[in-house]
Amino acid sequence: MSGSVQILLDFIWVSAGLALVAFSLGLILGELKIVNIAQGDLMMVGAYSMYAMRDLPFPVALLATFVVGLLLGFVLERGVLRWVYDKGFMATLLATWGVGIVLEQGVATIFTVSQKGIDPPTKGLIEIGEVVYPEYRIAVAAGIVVLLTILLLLVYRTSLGLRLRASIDNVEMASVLGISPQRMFALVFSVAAALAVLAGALIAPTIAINPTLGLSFLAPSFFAVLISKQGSLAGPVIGAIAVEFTFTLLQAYLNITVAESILFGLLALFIVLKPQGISWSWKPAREKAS
Amino acid sequence: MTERKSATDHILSPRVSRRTLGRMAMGLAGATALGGRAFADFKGPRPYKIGFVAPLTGPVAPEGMSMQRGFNLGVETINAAGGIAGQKVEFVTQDTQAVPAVVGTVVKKFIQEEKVDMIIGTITGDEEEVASKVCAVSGVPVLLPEAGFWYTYCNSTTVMMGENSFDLNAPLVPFMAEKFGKKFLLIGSDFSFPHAYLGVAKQYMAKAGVTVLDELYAPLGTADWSSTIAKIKSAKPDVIYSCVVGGDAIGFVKQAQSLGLLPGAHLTGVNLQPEFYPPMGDAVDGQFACVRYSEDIKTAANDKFKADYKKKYGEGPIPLVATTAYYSLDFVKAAVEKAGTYDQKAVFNAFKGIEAKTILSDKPIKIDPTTMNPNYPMYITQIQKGGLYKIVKEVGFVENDLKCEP
Repeated sequence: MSGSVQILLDFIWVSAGLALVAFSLGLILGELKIVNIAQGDLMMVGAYSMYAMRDLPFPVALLATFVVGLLLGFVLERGVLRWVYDKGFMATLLATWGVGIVLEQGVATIFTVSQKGIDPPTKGLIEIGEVVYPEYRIAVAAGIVVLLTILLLLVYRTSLGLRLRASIDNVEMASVLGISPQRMFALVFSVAAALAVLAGALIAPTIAINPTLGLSFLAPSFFAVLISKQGSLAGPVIGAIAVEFTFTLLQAYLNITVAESILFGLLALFIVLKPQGISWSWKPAREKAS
Repeated sequence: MTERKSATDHILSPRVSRRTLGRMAMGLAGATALGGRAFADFKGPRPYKIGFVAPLTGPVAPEGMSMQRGFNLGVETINAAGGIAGQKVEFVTQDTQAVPAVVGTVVKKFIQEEKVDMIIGTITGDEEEVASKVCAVSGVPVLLPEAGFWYTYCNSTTVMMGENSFDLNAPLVPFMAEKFGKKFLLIGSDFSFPHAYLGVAKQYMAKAGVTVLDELYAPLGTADWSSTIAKIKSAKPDVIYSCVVGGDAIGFVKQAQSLGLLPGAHLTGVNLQPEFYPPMGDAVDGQFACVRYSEDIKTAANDKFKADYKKKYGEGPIPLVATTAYYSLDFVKAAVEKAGTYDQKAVFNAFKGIEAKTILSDKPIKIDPTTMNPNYPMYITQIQKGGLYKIVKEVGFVENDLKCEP
């Protein structure tokens, strides 16, 4: 029983972080139609930002890191990406790859490549049945759930969200209706970058901080986005939960190496069989028939 | 564990007659005098040039940079003391990114264009293999400072300067089994070195009557250790014997602490490298590790090294590979001066059985002429708050079973 509770808690913790990164990736892919290879490196920047501000109170450092993410996203979109939107998929892919390398090398230059670590704001443990679990992980997972709920409500229940979805569906039509693509692109990339930076900041106390830390989060996040219908913003969140659920089940019975191989094999197969992705939205049978 | 007999043991064997002993003493005195004169008289024709190759970017860059720091300080120290054969040591450096193909290119370039006398460096086994083979073809001596290998190259140019997997495991397994119990759980990063290191460890575990409850491996770059830690918790081992390396070692320890496994459990193995202490913090205080070097070694040379290193690079535990790179130059100096020439074949041959005084001990350390690996005195240490690896047991030399590379 305690083993199941432990597995469930681990699943919630990991899928919360993955969902946040996947949401930010889905936002960029949906709105800007680019694959941001640097998303993992933005997470890394978040972790280093927390390390740089480790002497500040944790919430202050977290807020400042989020602002750093917004600014960095804005600078990258205005300074780099907007020049390559019309150069095609490969150009944007290479541009974000280049941005990632610059971020990694920049951080390595400033902080050196030696491993860093920070402490969580609390080392307390909570007893859940026979399992003791870190307060920090539970608080972060809950915080991410609240944040994603707010973001999805913003997307689906506000006029800003309506404009965003209109822009995602058809950017030319949206611009005719007065929605400036440039402003929307800058806003979306800045927010998505800040969310990735925030994800990195939140997991920083639980990992070794080094310039390549973002790499391990990139593949599962992309798969979470790819198995969902393109343009859907709730899809990557549910995709992240599906990916992590599968991985958690596999890890319970297999070595991580084997579990990872099977997971990515299954996901690749899924994408081959259903390249358009899954629309996770539930529709009654009658509506589907019509 | 048995200790090797020293040269003195053989000399004082009762089967050696007084006359023979006298002849040996005279011969030894003569050889020392000749050798001493040769060492003192040989003046190098030019600066001695070393090609230093290290992964300064890429996944093992922290280890590469640590090695570079030790090497640079070693060169400064040896030059300040008069250099090698009365000549300054010069060196060229290039990043290998831990990519074997790059290692091959850089080593060839150093040999052919820079005309180096020797190569020092590399971190990963793949890099070592390429450097060793290229140098063997060119006849250039190569010193490999990284530790943990379980085989030796048996060629005419390679000297393995680190401590081997037998050194690291032989003292540790019985110590941990005796102190904490005989139920071990093995964990490692999923590539060749951890498998081989834990394979060697299992040989000693079998001898010590240890039961291996489980063996868990995770790929390099694993970010989440929750499932592994849950498995360890449910297995309830007496000892967690770990060969999780690099940044993953830190991630594992931090998560083991936050999930309540540490500090209660007994964790040991190469997971506890001193250079990882600052980010691991108090999670590993009180744990035991087997090392070749500790800042707790009380020699004048080590005191000077520690002071110089911390003045140059700041406070914090000194990485083990930095120490190896540092004192490797003591062996280079001894070998070149013993050879009495820069000739590369003669210098390599001079390494066989050579002794050099290092920061490790007041006694000289000898390079085994067969394995071309130093006979290191090993230590069991306990990690103190702040990161000092305090020596709790001096183990001495360890018998190894290094065989030629498969």
